[in-house]
Amino acid sequence: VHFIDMIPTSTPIASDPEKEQQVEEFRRRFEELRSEIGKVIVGQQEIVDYTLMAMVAGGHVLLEGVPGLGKTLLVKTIAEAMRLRFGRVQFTPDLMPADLIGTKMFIDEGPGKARFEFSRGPIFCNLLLGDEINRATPRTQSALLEAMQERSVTVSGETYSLAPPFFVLATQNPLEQEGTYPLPEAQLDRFFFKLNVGYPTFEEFENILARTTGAASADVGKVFSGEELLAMGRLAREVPVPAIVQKRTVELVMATHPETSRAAGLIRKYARYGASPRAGQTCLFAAKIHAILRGRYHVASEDILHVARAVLNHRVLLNFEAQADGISIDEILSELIERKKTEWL
Amino acid sequence: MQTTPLTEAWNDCLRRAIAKARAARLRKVTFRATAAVLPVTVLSVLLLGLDRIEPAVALFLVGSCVTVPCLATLVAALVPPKKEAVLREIDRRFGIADGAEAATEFAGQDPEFWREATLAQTLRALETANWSERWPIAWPGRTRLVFSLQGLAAIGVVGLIVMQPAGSGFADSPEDANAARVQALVDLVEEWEQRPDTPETADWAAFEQDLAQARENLRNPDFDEREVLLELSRIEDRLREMLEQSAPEIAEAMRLALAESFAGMSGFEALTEALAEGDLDIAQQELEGLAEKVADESLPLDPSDAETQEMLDRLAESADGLRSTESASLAEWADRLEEFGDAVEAGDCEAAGACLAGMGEEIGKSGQEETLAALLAQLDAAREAFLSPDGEGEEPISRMAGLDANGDEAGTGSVDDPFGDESPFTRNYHEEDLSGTPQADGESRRRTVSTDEGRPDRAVRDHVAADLVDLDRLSREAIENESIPLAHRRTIQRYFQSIRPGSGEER
Repeated sequence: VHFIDMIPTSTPIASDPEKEQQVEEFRRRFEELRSEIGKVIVGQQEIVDYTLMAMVAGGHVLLEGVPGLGKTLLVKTIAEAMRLRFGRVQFTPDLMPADLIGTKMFIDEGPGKARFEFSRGPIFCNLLLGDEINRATPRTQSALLEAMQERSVTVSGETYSLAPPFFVLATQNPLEQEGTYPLPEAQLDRFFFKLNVGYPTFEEFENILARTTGAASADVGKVFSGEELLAMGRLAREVPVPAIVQKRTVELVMATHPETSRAAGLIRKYARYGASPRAGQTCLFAAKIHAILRGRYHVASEDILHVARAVLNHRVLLNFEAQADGISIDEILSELIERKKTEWL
Repeated sequence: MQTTPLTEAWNDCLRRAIAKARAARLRKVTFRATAAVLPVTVLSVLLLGLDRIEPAVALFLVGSCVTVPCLATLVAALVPPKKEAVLREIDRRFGIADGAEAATEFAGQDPEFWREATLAQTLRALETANWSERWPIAWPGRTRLVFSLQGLAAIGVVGLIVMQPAGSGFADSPEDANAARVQALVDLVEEWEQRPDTPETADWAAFEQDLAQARENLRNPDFDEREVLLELSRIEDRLREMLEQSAPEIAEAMRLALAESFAGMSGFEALTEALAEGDLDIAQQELEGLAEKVADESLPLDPSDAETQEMLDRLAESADGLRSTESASLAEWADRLEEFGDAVEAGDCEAAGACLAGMGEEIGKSGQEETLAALLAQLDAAREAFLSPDGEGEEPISRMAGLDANGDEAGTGSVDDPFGDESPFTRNYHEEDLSGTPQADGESRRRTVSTDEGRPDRAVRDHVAADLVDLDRLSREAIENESIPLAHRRTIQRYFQSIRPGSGEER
């Protein structure tokens, strides 16, 4: 029995009907966005949900998966559905920061008159698709780092703010390691979620073929603007977190620290570094959004556990022993989440 | 903080949940405590049934096994459940994802949209849910099974204890039982000392002194069973001795001897007449009167006088006649007659008077046989009670060796005579203490008494009787201490009873 099913939505619950309406609107718009994206993206519901949650939270998402799974299409569809300015950069080893950020152009305005004018790069958008981000050099990746964290870029001593909302949805291919530059840990931590895009199911595959090989193509409607997305984020921040849930969030994050007594099982053996406090912040914020979507007015432990994998899987670094034993971060997190589920629920 | 209808409603809800949690915990605690002690209870019943445990111990164990769950239940009922545990249980039972935790926390804060909404949402979830279905306080089959088994086991123990034969359990401590047995003997001795019908003779006075000494000895807490029996044997000897002296045939022989000896003697006419008529009381009085007369020479007895000489001859003849009977008592009478004759011949009037007084006293003892026989019977009964305090109808230890009231002979009854031929008694008996380890677990004692007499003397008999007491005690202890099932114990007991001399099955 889902919690949301037990509550008659027509009945006003609280004394602030306007706020309640906003909550309802949140759910409705979110659902609307999901269905609009669903017109183009077949399956991958979890990836879509997590991506949208990250965007509501104002976070960036790293999508990892083999080529051809629709990562780029997903990002493009989201941009289309949200009336956001979309920018796309195909990361390559020779991509320079200026290619990403922009550069000052020398403008000759006639004899004796010349000036430098900043020519904005593709990063000046609301939604940046960084395709195959791990192919860029660390220098270029660092340029992106500032933009992701500060939401601004600095060129020749001048800082240019990026118009909100600003999201980076980056993709990377786990297969080809030759000529790639793995993202540094600091940059990985900037991503709200890291999502592993898997293969579609049999039925989804059939559906993909039917949709994409015909003459017709789906039109994605503009559901809402970037401003509305920001408002949704603000509303989600208001959701209260009971003390017990906050405590459990800390417990969860600290359980990824192999050097502490809270770590157990595979973490203690295979983790090199645990998640940062930012992981806890991310976890709680994502859980707030998930709570609203589940029809709750408070964050519950199950919300934390629901988003834990996406939050932690790029923040816990494994040691050499894990690689030698063929242990993936997924296995380690599964064990941790199952243990906490037993303990809490 | 404001108290809103929502917070009040939530508090009501919480109280209901706490009551549920308390009831659930009660059941759980009671079940667990009962299940934990159940093996002990069942084991107690089994051990009691197999007679491997004392009823008191079994009762204690079962009592503890009943008390422990009761105490656990009481504690569970008195100690309120932890609030955190109750909230978590609400969340789990109603599937409201930390709703109870959140609602409780928010109910204590100032109202605000999100808090009120959480509170209202949680309340609605709980109010619309079926509490009995979501949080049933049921008594599942295993709980009923455990309680039933525990109850049956307890009833079983009580039943087994009730069905135990009387006297097989809950006995007094051995020290108390022993003290009670000895006290019974002390009471008997005191009763004898206060008897109004006791003869006023020197022998009886001496016997009373012996009784007083025996009473003191019996009161000695260091006196063991063997010494008590020896004391009783001494008393019995004295009684038998007095009984023998007062036997009718002894009195008759003595009467005739005196009558013949003093016949025709001047001054002795009344005495001889009373003796001839068999009136011993008058004869005693006459003898006492004559004793005084002879002593103060108012009745002179001149040995040169022919009448006196005839009397002395008759006295010598009577003494010889009495001695020839081989009766110890009559031999004593013969001695007295000779002593009187010697005193008269020597002209020792005082000694002659004393002899006559002694004869008077001895005559006075006649007719006490009934009293003495009654005392002996009492003594026998008291000894029997002392040796068989549990009232199982066992024979007294004195009879086991043929030392019953009617005989001094060693017992001869046995089954195929497992101990070999009867030892021929010799007066110069000697004892041998032989060491042996029949079962390689300790020293054993065996005593061989040999005598050339047809019957052993008193000392030998006393030692044998005391040894038998020891052996009886050892055999009882062995049977009690060994791990022998109750039914087998009884079989063994019956066997030993059957082979005792004097029993009905004796061969």
